[in-house]
Amino acid sequence: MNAFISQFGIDWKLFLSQLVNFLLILIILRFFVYKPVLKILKERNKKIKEGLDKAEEAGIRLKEIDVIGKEKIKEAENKSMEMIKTTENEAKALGRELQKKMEENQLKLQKELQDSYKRQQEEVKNLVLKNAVDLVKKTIVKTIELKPEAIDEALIKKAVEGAKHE
Amino acid sequence: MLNMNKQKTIKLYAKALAEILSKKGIDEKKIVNNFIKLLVSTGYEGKSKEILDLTEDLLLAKRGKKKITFETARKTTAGQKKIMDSLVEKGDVVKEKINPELIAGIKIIINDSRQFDSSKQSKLNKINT
Repeated sequence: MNAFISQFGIDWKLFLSQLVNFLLILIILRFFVYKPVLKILKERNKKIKEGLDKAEEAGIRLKEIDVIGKEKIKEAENKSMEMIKTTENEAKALGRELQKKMEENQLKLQKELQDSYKRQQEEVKNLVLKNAVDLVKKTIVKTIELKPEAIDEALIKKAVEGAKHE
Repeated sequence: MLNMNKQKTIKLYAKALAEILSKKGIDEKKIVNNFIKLLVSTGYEGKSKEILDLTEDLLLAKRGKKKITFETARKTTAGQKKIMDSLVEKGDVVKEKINPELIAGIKIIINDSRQFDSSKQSKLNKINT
């Protein structure tokens, strides 16, 4: 065994001192490097995990929001459609009412025009008649002025005869 | 209602006066004077014309006589008057009125109820209507 070791050139003392050195370095590295780095890594992993959890949660929330949003949009669409339909119906009713009012006004106006035309016709007729009567009256008066006594006598005779034979 | 009562009283007064005046051998002047005093005391003096007109009508009716009103356009001539008089009997009450509105002719009203109108005014009115 010793021959084998010596054949490989191993110096036990050097080997032991190197081993001690190595162990010392190992212990020092473990305390001052490995543990803090491990701690940092653990914390980082934890943060990443939290981040991922939060991202997943946000994703779920986002999906929920998306669903709610879609529902809201659908609801708003339905409401809009309903409003459009109602407005359409109201507009149609208003249109019908306006049409009716317009027809009524037209009829009223027509009647007023007809009445006014009739009144004017009546006025013209009365005026013509009055003028004609005045003319006849003037003519009669002029005629009577020529022979008033004779005309009076004839008319008196007529009235007296009428009274006698009544 | 009050007017109806007044009208009734007027008719009653006229009827009473006509009844008295239709009797023979009475002092007409005295009766009329007393009647006017009665009207004054009862507050009907304002209605005396109406009462007397009604009395006249009743008296004429009682006597079988007429009240004739001749309404002419102008003053009548003698010839016209003769024609008009042919309608008048003895005892009839005759009134004459001139109304130039008639233009020509005559309007005869007998007992305020019958009317004969041959005036030109009535003819023109007929044209108007």
